[in-house]
Amino acid sequence: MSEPAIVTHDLQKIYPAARAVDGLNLNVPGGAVYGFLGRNGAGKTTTMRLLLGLARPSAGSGRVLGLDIRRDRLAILQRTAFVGERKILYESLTARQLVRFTASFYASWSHQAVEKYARLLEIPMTQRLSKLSHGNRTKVCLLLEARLEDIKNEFRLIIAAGNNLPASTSSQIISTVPSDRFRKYVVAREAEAFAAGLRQQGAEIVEISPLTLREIFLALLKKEEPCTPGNTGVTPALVS
Amino acid sequence: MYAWKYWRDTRARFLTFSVLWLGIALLLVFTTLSTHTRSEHWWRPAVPGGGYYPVWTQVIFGMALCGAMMAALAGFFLGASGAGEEFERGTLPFLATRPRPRAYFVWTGWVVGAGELFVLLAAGMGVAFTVLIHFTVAGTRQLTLARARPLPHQLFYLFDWAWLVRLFVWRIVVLLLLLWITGLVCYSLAYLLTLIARSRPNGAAFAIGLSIAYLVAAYLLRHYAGINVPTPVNLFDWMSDGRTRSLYIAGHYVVVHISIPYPFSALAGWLVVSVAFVLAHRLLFDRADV
Repeated sequence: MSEPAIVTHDLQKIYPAARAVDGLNLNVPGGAVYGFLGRNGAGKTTTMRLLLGLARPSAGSGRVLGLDIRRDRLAILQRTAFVGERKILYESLTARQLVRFTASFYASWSHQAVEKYARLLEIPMTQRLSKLSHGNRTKVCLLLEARLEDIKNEFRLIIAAGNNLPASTSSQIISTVPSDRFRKYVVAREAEAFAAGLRQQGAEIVEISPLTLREIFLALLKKEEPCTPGNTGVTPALVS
Repeated sequence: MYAWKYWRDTRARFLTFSVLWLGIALLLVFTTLSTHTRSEHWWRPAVPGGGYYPVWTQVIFGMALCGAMMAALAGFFLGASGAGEEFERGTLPFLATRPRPRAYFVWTGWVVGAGELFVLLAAGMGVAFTVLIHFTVAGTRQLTLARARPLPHQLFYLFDWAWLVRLFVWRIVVLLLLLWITGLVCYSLAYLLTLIARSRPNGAAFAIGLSIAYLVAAYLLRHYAGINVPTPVNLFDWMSDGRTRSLYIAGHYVVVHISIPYPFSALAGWLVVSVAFVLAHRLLFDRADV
């Protein structure tokens, strides 16, 4: 493991009504796949928003890929990809228009990679986003981050929150990723479905051991039933 | 590309107000023409003491009145967009995770909206005055409104239309600028309040409410306390301040305004107010949690 991907020291975010993140110390090693887990309202999403500069920390500090989250917001955004939990996109645009619009914000953009993944994931690029299914919208979100694929020797970070991808889509995505050269870090909320046991421990935010991306996706593929009180979907291998 | 997307977001409102303003401006022109007899057109003999204006001056007055209201209304609705609208529909996290300073989104959106407002007003005025030129300037053209039959004095005097346009062109340009600035103040206020309210309809409603409250307060202060509070309405004071003089040109008397006190300093002042609203918008947006 080389340079830490994410480091936070006593990171805090206090809202008038609640203490969303309270003194978080996080150390995500470079080259790792990382599950960032916690019960509802524990502050996972807020932490991601702090790391990406969407919210300002009340106290503490943080670094992403060695960059300060307060000062280097734009540099962090240039080198990271974020697929939000709600995936609300511009409904009136087609997927192709959204790709063109997004590309305009980046100094480097791999059109080839985007085209390649659009074909592999079978995304209807000429359809308006309002007409796309939830799964296809998630694919479009991931597609926009495929721009990072051709950037060599760079630290890259993918933060994916609550994608809730169906197993078939996950399978499609993982098939496009060569695991040997994959150097992206994932903070994935999906893994929460496997961590009910950890939540029972009353932990505010629980970090799990670094895993490979392939392991996480393989575990996701095994999960066939929705997470219910009777079927928590806990995979012991993931939480041990 | 953000300018393109902003245009896409606001084009329906832009087109709606463009058509509305064009309709009103043309209605104004035709109504004014139809309520004047031929002799009351541009070069009617001056009546001692005045009392009524040539068609062109009257159209300019009417356009100032209707245009100011239309510019304000268009400003309120066009301004209800930008970051506030993105907040409302939940697309802001997508936008804010692109590697661009938030100020870029604020200023790009504002400039596009300000441009739309200008084009909207200029297009309506341009078409209206073109129609007015068509009917009033060329001596060979006939007024063919419903009520207009061949009147005894239907024929226009031959007149150098370029001279007429030159006489009024500066006044029309100033009027366009004033309308634009009036709209811009309303637009920038709505732009700011939409961000604060994080809602498009609320942003527009707050801006309209605040503007009306401000105008009423300014009126009451002036009326009861003798305190003059500047309002965008003051921008149009020059229209009644200008001294008139009857000139004998080309064999006819012409009533023209002279020494018009164009309100350029007030115009600059309201431009500064508009920019101040945007700066406040930028400050708030920079510090906002998305």
